[in-house]
Amino acid sequence: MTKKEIKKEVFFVIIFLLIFVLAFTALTLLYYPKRSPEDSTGNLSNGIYLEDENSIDVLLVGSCNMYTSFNPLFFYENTGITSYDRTCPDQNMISSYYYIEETLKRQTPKVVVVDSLFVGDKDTDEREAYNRCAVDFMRPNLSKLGLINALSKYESAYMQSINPSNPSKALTWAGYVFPLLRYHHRMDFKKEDLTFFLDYTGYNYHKGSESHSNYNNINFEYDFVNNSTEVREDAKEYVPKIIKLCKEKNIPLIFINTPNKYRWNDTLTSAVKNYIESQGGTFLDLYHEYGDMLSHDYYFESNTGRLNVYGMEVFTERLGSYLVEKFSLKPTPMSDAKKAQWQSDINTLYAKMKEEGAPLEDGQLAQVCNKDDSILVRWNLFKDCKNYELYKRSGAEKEYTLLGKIDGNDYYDKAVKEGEEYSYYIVPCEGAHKGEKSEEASYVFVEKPKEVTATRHGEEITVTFAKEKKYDSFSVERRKYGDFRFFDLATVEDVEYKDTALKEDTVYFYRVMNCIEKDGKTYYSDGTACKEN
Amino acid sequence: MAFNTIEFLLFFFVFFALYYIFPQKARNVLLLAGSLFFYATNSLPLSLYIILAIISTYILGLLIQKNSQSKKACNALLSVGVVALVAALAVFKYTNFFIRGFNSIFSKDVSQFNIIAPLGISFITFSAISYLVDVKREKVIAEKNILKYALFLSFFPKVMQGPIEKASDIIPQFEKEHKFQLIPAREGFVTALFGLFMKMAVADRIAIPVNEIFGSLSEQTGARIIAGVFLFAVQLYADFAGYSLIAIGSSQILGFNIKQNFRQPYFSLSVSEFWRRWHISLNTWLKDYIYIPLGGSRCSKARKYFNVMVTFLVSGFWHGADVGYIIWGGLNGAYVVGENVYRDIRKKKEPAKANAFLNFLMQAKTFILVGFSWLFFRAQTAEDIALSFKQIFTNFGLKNYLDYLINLVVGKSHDALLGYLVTGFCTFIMIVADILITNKKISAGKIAQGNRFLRWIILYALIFMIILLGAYGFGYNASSFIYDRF
Repeated sequence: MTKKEIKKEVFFVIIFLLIFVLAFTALTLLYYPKRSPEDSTGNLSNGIYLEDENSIDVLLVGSCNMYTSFNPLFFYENTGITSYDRTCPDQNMISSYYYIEETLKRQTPKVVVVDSLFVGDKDTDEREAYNRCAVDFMRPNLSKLGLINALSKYESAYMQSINPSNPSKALTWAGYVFPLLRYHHRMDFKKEDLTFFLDYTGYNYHKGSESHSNYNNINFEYDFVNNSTEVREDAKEYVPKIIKLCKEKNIPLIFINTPNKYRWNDTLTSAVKNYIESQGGTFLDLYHEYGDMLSHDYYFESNTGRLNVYGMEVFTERLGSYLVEKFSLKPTPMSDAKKAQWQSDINTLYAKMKEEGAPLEDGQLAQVCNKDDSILVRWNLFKDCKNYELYKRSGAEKEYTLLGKIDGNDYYDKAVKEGEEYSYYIVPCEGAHKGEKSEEASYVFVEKPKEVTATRHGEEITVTFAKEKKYDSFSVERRKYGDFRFFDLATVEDVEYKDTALKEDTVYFYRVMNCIEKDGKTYYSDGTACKEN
Repeated sequence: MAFNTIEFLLFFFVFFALYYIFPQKARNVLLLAGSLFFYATNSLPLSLYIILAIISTYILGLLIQKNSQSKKACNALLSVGVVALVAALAVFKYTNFFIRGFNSIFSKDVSQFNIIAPLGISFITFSAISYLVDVKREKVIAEKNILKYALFLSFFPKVMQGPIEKASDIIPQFEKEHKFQLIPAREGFVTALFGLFMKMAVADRIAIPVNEIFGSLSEQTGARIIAGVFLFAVQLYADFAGYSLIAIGSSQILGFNIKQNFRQPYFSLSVSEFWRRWHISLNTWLKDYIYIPLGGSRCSKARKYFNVMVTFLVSGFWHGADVGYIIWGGLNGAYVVGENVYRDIRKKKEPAKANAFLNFLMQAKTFILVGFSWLFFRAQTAEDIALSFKQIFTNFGLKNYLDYLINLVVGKSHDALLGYLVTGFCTFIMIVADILITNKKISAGKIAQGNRFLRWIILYALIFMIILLGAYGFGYNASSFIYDRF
């Protein structure tokens, strides 16, 4: 080849590669799953990029236990101090380290708080999915590359120990650097994929936190027991790094745990505490310190064992007071425009809470639902009242009758007939609110399915829940082993349901509820659950 | 380090750059270093096998040539080499097969060993045997340069799964200068990309339902098993022919020519023709070193049929230490003998191309016969073969399977349907390409030399089909190349 020919060929190779890069980038943007900035599996905490430099006084990093426990908006409302939850689901110590490292390049917080659940909590087969939450919406920089390198090492080793055909370290790494290699199999394209083609990050009014207004659902049959007792290998490498980094930057650092119904226990707390302290770190055991919260069901969101927005208020107030006192934090001077923005965010939060429709005021009925062969009535206690009169009437009756004087906050009403609607209210017997009638709440009693079976035939599972169609419809829910809750699957009119959306190597559980339609409203029985066979 | 991994891509890219940067004289050293590194990435301790094989057969080759005057000495030396190579193969591949046989015949319970065979042991064994035999037959001069001989056995594009090259074809290429040549390199790139497409977008996608069916035979109906067998026929072709194309293409980029290993075998009009177009290098080896020494076709008809049967049984046994492979070999031998008997009785020649419809019928017949034999190849063990036939004869479940297919189309499982449609689309592309190649309408060479715009479209299409439609990463159980284990 002559020099001229070589030059010409090199030119065309460069053009070829440029077109390839452009097409690859466009496809990456198209295939990237677009998630809401308010979704914890999306860029929940990456709104921090849109915060002003050096505007965050308290930096909190960690898993869902952090972003559902500490709410920067409540903290600001109480103290005028700014904070941010740089969090993501199941955030391990590797992600915590690189999140801190990246954030400290733009922010100078006066204290860093680290949720230490994943110092000890075991890895799960969803590790890769959670790591994705940590990496996907980070901006390209050296911290992101460091995080990818570190995650690839631990993740591929762990995932291959589960299934040797899981991606190798190189493919794992490449999948993070070039997300198209990870998401190439996507076929569920939606309108959002084009709408947010170029911009899928957004301002997060929640400051990285996520609040849920629902209650702990006592119907939940949960088989998860956290038997983690040892410190994880990745934590052994990255907890010392976190401590060292904060020391170098001269920023106080504390590791905490949070009140959680399932994830923390005494053994795990001791193991984590001992390890962190052996590395010269400070550990604050809030699982035990705020243990009184564990006895309040209405502080916990349904099924997950994490705090709901009301528990979050209490937790933020308590931890916030501790931080203010311990580190002598002062309200942040800021412009009026900035103050207005924070106030607007707080208003948005309260509007959301209201929209979610859980008033949860003391002395009000909190839950009226079917439980086994009865209707369960629950209410929130006034602090100065333990005894309540409970009144009931059936749909056919005009007047309420007194069911009795109840010591506590719930009652199982077994005197119910299928298809009949019942209404209830309570009246406090003592205290400042004595004699104040609560609002009324009604429900229709529906018997739960007697037996539910789920039988797998190759690529589908047939869920059978009745011999004959006696109800208007049936609500079918599903979860896989390890899930914290059942998820809605379908509402069907037939007495069986064929589930074909199955993943490989996954064991499924189903829960079915009988449903009755009345006056345009659907009433659900208690659920009957089963495991596939 | 399989060809369909990021690791191989990186390795090849770095190696390619170094290869053409290095001076000519040092390139064979680099090639050997790269080949041994490639081999060692699979298992460092097992790399000892290939080193021992290289050294021992290199010395034996020289000794055979040195003693060429003494037939007795030559035969003895050849026997030592062949016995040693076959013994190593037997230890690594057949120990457990014989233990299982012993246990079964004598009702014993001797424990099996957890043996991992060195990468490409069967291919290395056959290459080395062919070299020793050819030296003895004086068809090839014993190689004095151990570097070139080592490359003959370990050249990384072919060490895993062949093609099984003869020393006379490949060793002279290590003596030539290899300047970078644009057109052959382009041709190699197109060839390797199409091989990667066949492997990742066709074979690995089809592997998902096939693995599911054969992974739970007792839960499958006969109809699904039969569907699985014919899907496997396509999978195996896309997998192994895809591998061969990557080997040929990557060799070509480095300036080496490796012979075609597949020539669109499923378009064959007879089973005999199929075996001339499928895994050509192995079948050529079996013809040259088993069939012809047994007497080939220049003997009585009965003896010829016997020779065919023996050759196919050896092929079956070479593929693996399970009853399924032996039955598969025997069945294909029987097909070929049957065709020969038919032709001998009718005094007809092999079928030549007739009209399109008749050709199609003949091709369909060949596909069905060969496809059926893959049942034994895929099921492998006597238990699974028996279970497959039990399900086929006692629980065919055609209605159930049709319901499943109908539900797939009209039901709500859009993801599954889309998955099958994508697999079908990729398979269709492969078949169309095969038709065009068979009819000489298209070839990697034509693409490499043709219009740049058209070439780029083809290259982009292949690259993005591999990236977007390939079965790799999470959500897929990435398959290793099927012929890795042979």
